[in-house]
Amino acid sequence: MLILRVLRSGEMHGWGIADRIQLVSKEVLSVGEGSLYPALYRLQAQGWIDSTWGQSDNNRRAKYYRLTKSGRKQLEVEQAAWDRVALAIAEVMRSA
Amino acid sequence: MPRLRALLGFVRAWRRRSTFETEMAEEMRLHLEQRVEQHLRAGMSPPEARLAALRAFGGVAQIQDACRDQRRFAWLDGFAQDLRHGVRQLTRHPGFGAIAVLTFALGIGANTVVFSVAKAVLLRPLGFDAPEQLVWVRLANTGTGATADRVSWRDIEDIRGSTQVFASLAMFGARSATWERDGRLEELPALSVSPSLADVLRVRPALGRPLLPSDAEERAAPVVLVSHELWQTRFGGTPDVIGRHLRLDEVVHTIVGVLPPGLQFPLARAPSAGTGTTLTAGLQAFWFPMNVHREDRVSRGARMFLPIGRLKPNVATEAAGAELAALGRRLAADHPETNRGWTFDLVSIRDQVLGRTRYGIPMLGAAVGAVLLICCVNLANLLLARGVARQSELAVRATLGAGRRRLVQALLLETTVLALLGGAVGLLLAEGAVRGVRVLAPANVPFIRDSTVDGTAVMFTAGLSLVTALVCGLLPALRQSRSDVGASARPGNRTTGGPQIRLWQQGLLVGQIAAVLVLLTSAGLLLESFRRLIGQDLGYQPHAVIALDLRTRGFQTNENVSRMYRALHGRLAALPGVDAVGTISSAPLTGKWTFDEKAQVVDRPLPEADRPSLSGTFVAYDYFQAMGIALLDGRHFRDADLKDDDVGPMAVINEAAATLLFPGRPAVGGRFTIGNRDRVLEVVGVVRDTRDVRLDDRPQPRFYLHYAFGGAQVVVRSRVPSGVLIPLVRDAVHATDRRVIVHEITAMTDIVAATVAERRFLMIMLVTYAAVALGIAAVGTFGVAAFQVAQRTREFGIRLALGASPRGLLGLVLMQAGRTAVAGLAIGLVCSFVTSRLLASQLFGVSPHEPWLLAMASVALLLVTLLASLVPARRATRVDPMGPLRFD
Repeated sequence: MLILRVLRSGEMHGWGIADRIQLVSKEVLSVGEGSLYPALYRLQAQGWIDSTWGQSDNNRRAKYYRLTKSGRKQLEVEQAAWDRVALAIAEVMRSA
Repeated sequence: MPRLRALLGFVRAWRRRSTFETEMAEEMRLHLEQRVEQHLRAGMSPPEARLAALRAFGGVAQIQDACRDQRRFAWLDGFAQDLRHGVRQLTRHPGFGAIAVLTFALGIGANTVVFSVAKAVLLRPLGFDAPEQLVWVRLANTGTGATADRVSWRDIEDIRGSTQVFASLAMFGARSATWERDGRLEELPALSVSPSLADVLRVRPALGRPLLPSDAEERAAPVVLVSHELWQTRFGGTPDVIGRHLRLDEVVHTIVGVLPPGLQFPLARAPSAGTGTTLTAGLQAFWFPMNVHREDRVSRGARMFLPIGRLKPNVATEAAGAELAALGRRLAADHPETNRGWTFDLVSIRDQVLGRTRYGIPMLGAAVGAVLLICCVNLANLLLARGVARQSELAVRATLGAGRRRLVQALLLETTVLALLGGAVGLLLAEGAVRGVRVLAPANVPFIRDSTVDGTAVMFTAGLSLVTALVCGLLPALRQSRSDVGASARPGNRTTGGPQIRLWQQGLLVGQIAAVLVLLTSAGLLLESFRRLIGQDLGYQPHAVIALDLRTRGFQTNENVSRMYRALHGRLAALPGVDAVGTISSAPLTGKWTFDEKAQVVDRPLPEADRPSLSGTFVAYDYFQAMGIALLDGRHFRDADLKDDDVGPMAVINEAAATLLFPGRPAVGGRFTIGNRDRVLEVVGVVRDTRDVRLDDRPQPRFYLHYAFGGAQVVVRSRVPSGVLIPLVRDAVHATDRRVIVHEITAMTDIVAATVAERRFLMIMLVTYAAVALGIAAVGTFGVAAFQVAQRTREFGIRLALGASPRGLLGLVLMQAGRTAVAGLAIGLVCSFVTSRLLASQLFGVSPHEPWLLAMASVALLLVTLLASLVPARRATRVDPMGPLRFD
């Protein structure tokens, strides 16, 4: 889900995604490559992201990933589900 | 939509697969380089930076593998890989592969054979519209259960009037027609039919009109329908055939219609169905309207007609049968003189056609199912044994990360490859076997000559192979993929595979032995049944006897016929090597007509309802001597007494008739009358009972009258082989009178064999399968015993080292085998109790639980099992004590 969210802002290459998640979560979440790449490949197999080769900023070849239309829809679905769960947990913590 | 997307993703991934690896490697490399650069910028030295980057990244190979698993078609790659590996393994161990393929081939092939035969016999279309509605009506004796095919006109009228089950009902009778054309005589098979037969069979004439009730009236103009085939071949297939005149049986008939093409009626009937009445099955050249005399329409006892009916669409055969039986009971009460002891019975035409084979085929199916099961057990054991040998290989794969699912998949795949190969070989074997069946099967097992191995059989074989692979392979695969990697690496277990394997193997063997016992007892029961059936005293001696079937049309009077027979008898008796010649209107088992009459003893009159019923036939010359029927009392007919124009006043009766008519006193000299005639018959001789109708029926009381009847069969006993005799006989007939046509010459032994043809066929098939099963089980036992001895070499070595005698080891192994066998026999005996009961309807003269048969089968199986274990057991005794100890 996090990967999809990151890609919503625009296309990015593998390590860019990892860096971004780490940055935005203020170092709380760090996605290791061990789980990043398998996740990327799975999302691609599901058809939610797409990849192309291109040039990175420092003139290196890199594989860029971007969100597809179905991926966008999937992100919404997952986000809604996550929000429900988070709300429920918060309720329990507050009043139980 | 998600499915479509998934499919597109699949296609896209497929197209990219060649670049996948390189791209992935490239991507990872670039990622790593990026990290290294980051670290370098942060101030680390190059080696430190590299190290830090790698550590952060993690194991590249594992990550790449995880990525590979995420692909769409990951499983396909694994599939192909396992397949290649499996095939390689097989080529490296060809012995194992060969045995496995052969076992599969035997099991699956046997099933394919029965499938082809069953398909040909049971599913063959009968050529009529809605054939399940067509039924024969016949009489059934309430006391003995015996059936009679022919009913009377009154019976039919009663059925038509009093029951609601038939949509249409018709009668017919077989006859032949002599067609005179351009001075030549030709005899063709034909039927006399009631006009409603076309409705019952739902056939419409291809040309012209059907027969009408008006055609059957006494003074109606003679008309006839011709068959399509006759119309095409003799009349050129032209429409002007309608209205043409034919001289049939010396009467000019007008053709009014042509029957539809391919009309085969009546259908060939299995010899075990019906009472042996012969009908010329198949294409009939003519249909004549049935002309019934007034007295035959009125008399209830004139049972001359064969009825066939079509049930209404929503009427079940059982319900119809019940209604008819109720009618039969009513008639028996109302008209005891003709109907007492008889009721009506229904048989569907398919049951008549198939006869005993209808139950035989499912029985064969069960037998080959058992054979396949036995093969499966062998294979499972084989695979288990093989698995032990491969344990290290599987352990390594498991260590390298193969999940249990993947291992099971790989093992099952190997088994499936073996099964499909075996199925292919089995298909070839089945093709050969079915060809053999086509040639060797008796002609009167219905439709069996049509068995083929065709497309559906191939599909069946393929499906069965897959199922078998699953059944055989699942257990071993599950067992072997268990992740006790450590356990298998331990020294002790490397060759023994643990006690669990042994338990499974023994268990499977027990099941196998039980199945083989069931097969053996079933085959034994059928074999014994058959032996007893044909070993019966027939009452006559069929060897060295031939029967001639003659056609005697155109002789005008009975006297001329009698004179012809006299001359023929003279000629035949004079042939060299001929011992006796006689005539009879109905030779045993040929099903020619006899007549049933109620007999009345002259000095002990009984009311009509209580008079015993006897069947009668006409004999002349030395019939009893020719047939080898023993004379028990009195004398034979004398040739001098034979009259040419009338039946003599003497009769010869058989034992059953003698005890029936003259109980407690000598029958010779006794006098009785038959039917309502006034003629008194005097008994001059008593002969032995004969089995005339079916071998498994009790002999019926019979009387023989002295007369050479037209159409009688001539019976010749001779010492000369039939190959020499038959041409001489034909010449003699021709020389006697050119008008006589020899319809058929058959050896009596062939006639007897034909009546048991179906039984023999089923018996042979079952015995073959039982023998094959025994062989497979022996091989299986041998294999398992050998394997287990090999496994226990270490144990045996220790035992020997500690002082056990080789003989003791032998005893140990044999005891183990014996225990397994006994357990299997126990279960098998229980199962065969059940199956024997199911077989009961097929047996003759043998009880389903014949104890000595069970005992023999058990002992035989036990011996075979012990023998099979003997060779490996002896190998156990030759174990070098030091070898295994040093090896491990």
